[in-house]
Amino acid sequence: MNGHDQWLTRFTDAIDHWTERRARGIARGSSRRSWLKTLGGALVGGAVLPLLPVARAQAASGVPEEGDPESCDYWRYCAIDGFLCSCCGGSESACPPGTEMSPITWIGTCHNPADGKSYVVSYNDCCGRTPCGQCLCNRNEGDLPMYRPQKNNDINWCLGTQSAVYHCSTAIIIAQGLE
Amino acid sequence: MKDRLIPNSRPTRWLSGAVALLMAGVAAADFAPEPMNANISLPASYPGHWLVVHDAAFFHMREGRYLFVDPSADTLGGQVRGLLSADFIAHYEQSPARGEHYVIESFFSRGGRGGERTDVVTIYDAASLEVSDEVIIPPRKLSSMPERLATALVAEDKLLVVYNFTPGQSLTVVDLEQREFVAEHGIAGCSLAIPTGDSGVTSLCSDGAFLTTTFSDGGANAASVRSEAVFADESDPMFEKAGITGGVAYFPTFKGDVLPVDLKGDAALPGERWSLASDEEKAAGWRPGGWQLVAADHLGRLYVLMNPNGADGSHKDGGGEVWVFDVAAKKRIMRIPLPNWGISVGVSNAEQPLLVVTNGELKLETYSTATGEMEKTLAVSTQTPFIVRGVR
Repeated sequence: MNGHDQWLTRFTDAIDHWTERRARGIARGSSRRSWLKTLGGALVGGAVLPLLPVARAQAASGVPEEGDPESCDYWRYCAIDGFLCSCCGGSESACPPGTEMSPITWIGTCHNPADGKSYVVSYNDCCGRTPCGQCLCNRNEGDLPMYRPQKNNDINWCLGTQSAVYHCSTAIIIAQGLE
Repeated sequence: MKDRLIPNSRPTRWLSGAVALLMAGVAAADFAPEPMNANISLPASYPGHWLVVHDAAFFHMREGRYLFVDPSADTLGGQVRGLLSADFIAHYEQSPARGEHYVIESFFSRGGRGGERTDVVTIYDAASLEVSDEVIIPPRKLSSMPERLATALVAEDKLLVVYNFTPGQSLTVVDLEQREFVAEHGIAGCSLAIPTGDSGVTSLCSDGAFLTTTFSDGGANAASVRSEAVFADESDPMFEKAGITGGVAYFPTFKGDVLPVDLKGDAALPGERWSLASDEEKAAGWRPGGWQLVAADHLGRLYVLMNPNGADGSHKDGGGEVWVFDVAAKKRIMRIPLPNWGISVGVSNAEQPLLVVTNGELKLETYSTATGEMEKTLAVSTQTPFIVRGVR
């Protein structure tokens, strides 16, 4: 079986799994069950849902966290769209080696289950390499259409960088949300 | 001499036999070598049931393409009629009057790592699919997920308008007769370019207003008219995607209304919202959703992908049914349950339009718009066919 067939098989398995969850009536309730999210889960390596939470220390910002930054379910990714830098040699808050972080971007507001608070998350793209192609993830909590660019995750935000080629997306905590 | 004659007689007999065989072959089949450098051509005017499929190739987006597909064919070879390259999630327009396709794309001098960016309007002859020309434009065109309303043909297809985002917002105007970039006009705070009137485009502004920019002097000058802010309600945002029929664009909202906007005149005229779902259906969770979640046909029918499990953030998830509306009557006329989850819809321009659904496995399914019955899953293989439309 070549790589393309394996990808198709995993993707088909993911759809089957998604359909099964939907049939059981537990699929919706948040945007996490989007088809692209499912695709992203499939691409993590065949295990679709759930990925076991990974206990984590505090983030650089001092925010307590739980969850797996390589999973589309990770709390910071509530409005992300793209390839997770955590799967591309970077992290949830840093670009992979050799790429350049876009200085401008879109933002989301995500609920952190570890402390019950909301945080403003900046989804800076990393640029200058061909698309990473790993861990595609699309979640749209608070996402607005393209006429509100600062809240829209469909745009390639590799703007103001040396290269406009999109590689992956980070999710950086920049502020605590208003409760 | 006698000894030498014997061997000489052997090739003579062999040659005689070979010539005889060759002559027999010619006589039997009129054999002629096939010509080299042969190309298939397409008709100058495409059949109305053909489709244009944008495979954005999201995982390697420098290798996107537009495929011309005949959905009536049963075989893969019969379905794929030809394709165009479309680098880095391009935009596309077609002019039947000019017999041309336009791909608005970006190239990077150092390929996957970037380098100098060059934005190009690549012009293809519709019959040969050969590149007949190209126009270099400012390297600022919108780079995003595939977006149908980012470019427009206006002024009887003499001008091509391209929406730019840097994040500064502007419109590039290209003269397709002179094959040259004409001008760039600012539209601060507004997005996209939807054909409007004889020579204008309408953009969607962040404050909820429509901005119509009308071009004059071959696109060198522009004047704009701004509507009231009619889609500013963040509790039920309006999609930036629309089905356009009869000169009216129908924009669904996240929670299941639709806003009609008349684009026939020199300024966009928003109409009254009407509902795509009953209060009971909305309460049960039915909402529009998907990538290209809406399409319209020339018979005045609107097709909307509907999600039975709508919630905050579900607006790009796709849906389990396509609901069909008569826009004149503002009534639903059909529900099409999908055997597979759908993420985009498109419709052909055939006399009896064909509905095409991109399903969750990224395959293309066709449906009769007369009966709602599924016809087939197309054999054509693409990676991320997010937008399907009919040829014009």
